[in-house]
Amino acid sequence: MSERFFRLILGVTLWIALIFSAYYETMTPIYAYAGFLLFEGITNWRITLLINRLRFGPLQKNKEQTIETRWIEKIDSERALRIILAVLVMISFTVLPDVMWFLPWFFSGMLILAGTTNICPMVMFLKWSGMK
Amino acid sequence: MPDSYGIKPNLASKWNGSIAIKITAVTIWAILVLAFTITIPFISTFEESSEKEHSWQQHKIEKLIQELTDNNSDKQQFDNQINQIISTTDIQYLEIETDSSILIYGSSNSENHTLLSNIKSASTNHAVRLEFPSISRAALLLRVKIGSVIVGFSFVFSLFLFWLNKKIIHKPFEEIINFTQKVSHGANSLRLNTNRGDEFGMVSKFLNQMLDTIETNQQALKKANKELVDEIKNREEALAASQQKSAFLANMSHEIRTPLSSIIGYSERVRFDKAKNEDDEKRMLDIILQNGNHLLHLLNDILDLSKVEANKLEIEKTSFSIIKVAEHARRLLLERAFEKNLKLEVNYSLPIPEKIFNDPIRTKQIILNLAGNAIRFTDYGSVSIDISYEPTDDMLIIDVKDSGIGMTEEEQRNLFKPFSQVDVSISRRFGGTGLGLTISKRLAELMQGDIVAQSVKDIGSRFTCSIKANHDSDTGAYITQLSAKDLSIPEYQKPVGDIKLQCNILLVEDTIEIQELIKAYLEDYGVNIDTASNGKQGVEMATKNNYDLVLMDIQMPVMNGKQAIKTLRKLKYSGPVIALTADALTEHKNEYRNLGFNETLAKPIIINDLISSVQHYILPKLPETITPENNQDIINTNTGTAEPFSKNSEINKVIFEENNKDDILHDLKIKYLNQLPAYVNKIKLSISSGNLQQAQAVLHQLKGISGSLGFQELTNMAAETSEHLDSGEIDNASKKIELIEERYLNKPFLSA
Repeated sequence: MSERFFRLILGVTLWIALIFSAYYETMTPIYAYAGFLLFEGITNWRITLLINRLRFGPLQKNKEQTIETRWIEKIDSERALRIILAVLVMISFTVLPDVMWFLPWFFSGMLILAGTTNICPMVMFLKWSGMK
Repeated sequence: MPDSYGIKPNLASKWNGSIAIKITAVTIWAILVLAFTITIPFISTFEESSEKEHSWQQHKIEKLIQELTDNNSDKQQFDNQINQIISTTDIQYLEIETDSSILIYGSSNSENHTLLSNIKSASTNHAVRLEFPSISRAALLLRVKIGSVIVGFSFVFSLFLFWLNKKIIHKPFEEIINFTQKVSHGANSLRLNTNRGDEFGMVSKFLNQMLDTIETNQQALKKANKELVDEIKNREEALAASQQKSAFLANMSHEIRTPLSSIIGYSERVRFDKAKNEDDEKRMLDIILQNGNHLLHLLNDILDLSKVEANKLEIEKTSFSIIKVAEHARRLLLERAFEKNLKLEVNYSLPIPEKIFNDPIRTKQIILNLAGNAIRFTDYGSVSIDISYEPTDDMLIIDVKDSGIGMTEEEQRNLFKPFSQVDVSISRRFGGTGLGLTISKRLAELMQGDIVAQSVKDIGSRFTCSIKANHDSDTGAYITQLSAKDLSIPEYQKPVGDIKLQCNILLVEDTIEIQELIKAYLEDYGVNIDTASNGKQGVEMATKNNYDLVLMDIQMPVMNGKQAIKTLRKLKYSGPVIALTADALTEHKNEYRNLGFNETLAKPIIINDLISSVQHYILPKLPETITPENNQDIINTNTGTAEPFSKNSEINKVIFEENNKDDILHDLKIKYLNQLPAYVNKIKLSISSGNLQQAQAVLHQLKGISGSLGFQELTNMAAETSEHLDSGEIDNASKKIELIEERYLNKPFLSA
């Protein structure tokens, strides 16, 4: 599974979770969503990696690579994306729900768009900042 | 191939990298941001306005209740008014509590209550309780609606936008990409449609211009490259030719030095009397003569080759018998074959045309070259020359086969190239210049034929020469059976001393050695010879004295031969002049003929050629008195067979009837009759040119010799002709000469 397709799934899931939580006046889907993203981001046990590992076997790491890199260059941009998404969604719902209510909806739209076009501004920015 | 350029054949099927996708994504980002930016203040305004609306509705209800209470309206009227106002507002639940009763309108939903107010009037003791829908709930639902609509709309709009971008931007790009891809694969003749007026049209136009320029440059480059390749090829060929010429010169040096060594060495030995005896001296002189002839042959080959290279080799077509040419060649080759103990055969596949029309001398040269090579490179076995005729192509086939050393395929490839010998060591072992085949092939081509070689190393070689026979199949005769006559050829004419050229010749030659040599040659034949050492002296002597013939060198000091002949002809000198020159190329011969020379003889002077030429211009003098010595020579010559004549003819009487009586003069008479045409021709030429004095002189000779040999009738006819000339009766003289021709000429008496 590609990251691109997973982004599409994340966007649609967030969209559905937002509608569900609004109509049923429950925050559970949002919390679950944020929790899932945090789990993936912190542990790096990402669905995409797990599926690919099941399909194609473990990744071959280049052990001979000895070039020292900066700390930011060691961070995976996909992991960072998940953590940032989770944090911002939680903040928008818990801290400033009336001010930042649009942020989850915006994320949802952008994730769907990133899934369809394979162009994700957040990942682009993270990679520009030095992440791998 | 396309992957190497990062180009896919159809980009529409690939989301990545499509410019339409990128433009769509960026546009939708902007739309999303814009939509939420607009929506946020709208939601805030919605909450505030909802609160105000509820306050205003509450105020309106309170005022209505107050009015209804104050007016003591009945219950029915009160209910109608209240229900009407509920239906036009957001009020969901209205409860009016008085002292006596509680009036309830709508249904209560405490979870959704956003406002609960108790109105206690001062004048009336009642309380009003209002319930409105929750504003925060409404705002939340509004956010959900707006968010869903924005996201959904963005998604749908992105599809539309992508389709639009694909049509407007991607498609022209795709056309350009496919075009450049095809061009990069070599379709340089393709051009883009430039009808569009936008940037794509401009790009297409400039791409087309760029391709035109590239094509023009490519053509120029191709031309330059071709010229460069040709130049390199020419240089390589020139280098190879130079190397071959160097090798050739080295070989020539060997070829020339070897016979020269013999000539110089044996000449010195003869000069200093080192010969053991007379036979040894003759042997040395034979070696000198043989090596001199070899050098002459070599020189002729080089001259022929220079003609080949200059494309000036010419052939002179005439009708001839191929059998006689082949037999002559065999006779010349027999000695060499005999020396090497080889069997030499000439086979004819009959029928063969009796006469073919081509160059006999060059044909013989080809046969001598091919068969000479075959003998040279064969140590054991045989050499055969097979002659046949191919009527379908009208080609004469000369097939020369040998059992010699043969050649490899590599060696055969360079066989006909000038200056290329198969192997220098082989040429040194077997001799030869290596030019014969080149010349022969060129000669065969000039005679509308070719030479093809087949060879197997250590087995033998086969050279097949074909030349155009130019034989008329309808009227031309064929030889279907060989006879002795077909195979007979004229004997090699050795210089014999039985003909005395009693005449006066002027030799103009600056080289003393050549003067002495030619003088010695001619004096053997009874010629009185005067010499001049330059052209000026020669002109003076020729005009002062009455010479029968002038032999003149071309390159001389003071005045050269060309200037001398010009001067002589300007002075109306009409006698024959033969040029002696080392420049024996055809164009030189033509030049000398145009200057006024009657003939050109090439140096080195060959005695036979010299005597033949002199004989052509000078009437031979038969010995006036027959001595026992020259009688013996005459007796020893071949008697031959004369053709039958009428019994009454003088020839029959003199030759046959008196043959037994006077055997000693028989051969002399025949020889005289053979030379009679020359006498008659000279008389006719002299008469036609108005030189009656010379004609009389020849007639005088004719009378004397004819009388001495017993031809009385001929003597009388010559005397009568002379008398006619004396009396100026040219016509009668001519008729008499015609009579002589009729009776005595055109009767072949060649004894050998």
